[in-house]
Amino acid sequence: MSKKKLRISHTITEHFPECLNTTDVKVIMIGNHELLIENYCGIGEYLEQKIVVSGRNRKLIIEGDNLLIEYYSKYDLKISGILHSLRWNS
Amino acid sequence: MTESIPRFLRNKLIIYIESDTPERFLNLCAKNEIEIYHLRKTRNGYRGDFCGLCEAKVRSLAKKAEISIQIEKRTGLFYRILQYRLRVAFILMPFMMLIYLYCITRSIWNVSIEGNYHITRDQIVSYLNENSCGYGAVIKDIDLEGLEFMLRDQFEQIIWVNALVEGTCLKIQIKENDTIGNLANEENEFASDILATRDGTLVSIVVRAGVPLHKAGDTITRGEKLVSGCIPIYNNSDTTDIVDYQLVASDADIKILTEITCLWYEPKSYTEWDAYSFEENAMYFRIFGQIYSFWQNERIRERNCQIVDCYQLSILNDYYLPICYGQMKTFLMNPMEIFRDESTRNSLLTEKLELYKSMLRAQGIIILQENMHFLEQSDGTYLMGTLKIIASDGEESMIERDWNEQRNEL
Repeated sequence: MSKKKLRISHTITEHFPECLNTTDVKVIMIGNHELLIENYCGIGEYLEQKIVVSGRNRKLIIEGDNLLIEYYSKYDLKISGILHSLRWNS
Repeated sequence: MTESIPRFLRNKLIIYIESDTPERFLNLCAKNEIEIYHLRKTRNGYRGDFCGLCEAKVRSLAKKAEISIQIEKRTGLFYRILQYRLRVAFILMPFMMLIYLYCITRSIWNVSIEGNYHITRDQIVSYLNENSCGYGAVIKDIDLEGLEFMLRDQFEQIIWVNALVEGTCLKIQIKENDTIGNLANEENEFASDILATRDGTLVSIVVRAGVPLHKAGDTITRGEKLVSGCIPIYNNSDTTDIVDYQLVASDADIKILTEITCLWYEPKSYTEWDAYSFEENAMYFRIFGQIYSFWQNERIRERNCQIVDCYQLSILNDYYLPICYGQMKTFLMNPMEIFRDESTRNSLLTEKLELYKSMLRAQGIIILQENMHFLEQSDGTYLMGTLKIIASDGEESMIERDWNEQRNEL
């Protein structure tokens, strides 16, 4: 079955919310202990002190202590632990 | 709770990943719609809960990612069913119970009769059993309207009957005729002949209606017509010219001289059961008509059992099951072998003969001659012979000929 590509015209996308009109990784941070991530490609590295999440254009590097992947699926990812820093690396 | 039920339905594997770089394996799992929960680092690897997959799939992904995994635990609906796969009866039991209940509710297991005063319940129930409409009959095979017609036809006292099936109970409501005593016989409106029921010689024939076909002294055979119900109507001027026939119900007093054969037998010994006082009450169960008690079955056959009460199990009032229970009274019987000598046997046989003769006389039969003799055998004594009697005879037989054809033949 051939895939159909949906082409959204430029005029229509002007009225879309900003979060739907992007290919970047979406990050929601709750305090310094929880992180919800969407719109990613995969996990590049997983260690107790460092997690690297790959996006389409850039990578997100999460550093902290006792980092734990609470939930990981095709669409969203939840990381818990003591978060020290978040860095973007293109 | 809201998350654990879907996970239970989708199956869950607790997997230990023996690798320090499980990222490729995790990404492959995520892309294959596999959800990962509580993934944490252990001493030499990682451990997590993988949901929504089968074991073959995860092993293929691990092989693709070139890492080794260990499946530590398997949970979920599929694995729980697999765990009980050898307990077939445990799994099939609820379905078998439902199928069993469905099957037994297709038959009648109780008969309820209301409104009967002169006709006993046993009479109606035995009639239903003879016509395959009673205990154990399949509900869909019972024609309720036909059953109502049959009951009205069989029992003259019933003037109204209603039969319906509720659950597994056949309910019959009847209304009897309020007139107490014998109902007047209906007049025979149909023309009939009189036929002989035995072989013999005609002694006397007095005809009140019909045409006699034989006279006194004639030899007759069984089934032969004695009185005809067709009276020919002759033309006034010509006595041999039959114009028409008049059909009447034949009526006549017929006596014939015939012989009847008699045979009685008395054995040399017989078994008599002596019931001595030993009464005991016990519980019993009756399942599909078979009685089971807490005693051994051999004892039930030896003892004389009398059922005192009977309770039938039912579901929701009208759905009766073929299981009854109750109490029964029993007492022991002792067998005794009793021997009789020849004179005793002869006197018993003679008593039977005299009783039979008195019964014949009470019916108005005249015994002319008796030709009986005793025959002694190894097992007992026989009394056999013939009795020459004069008895009333005659059986009505309805005329079924097409009289239009008969008139056309004239």
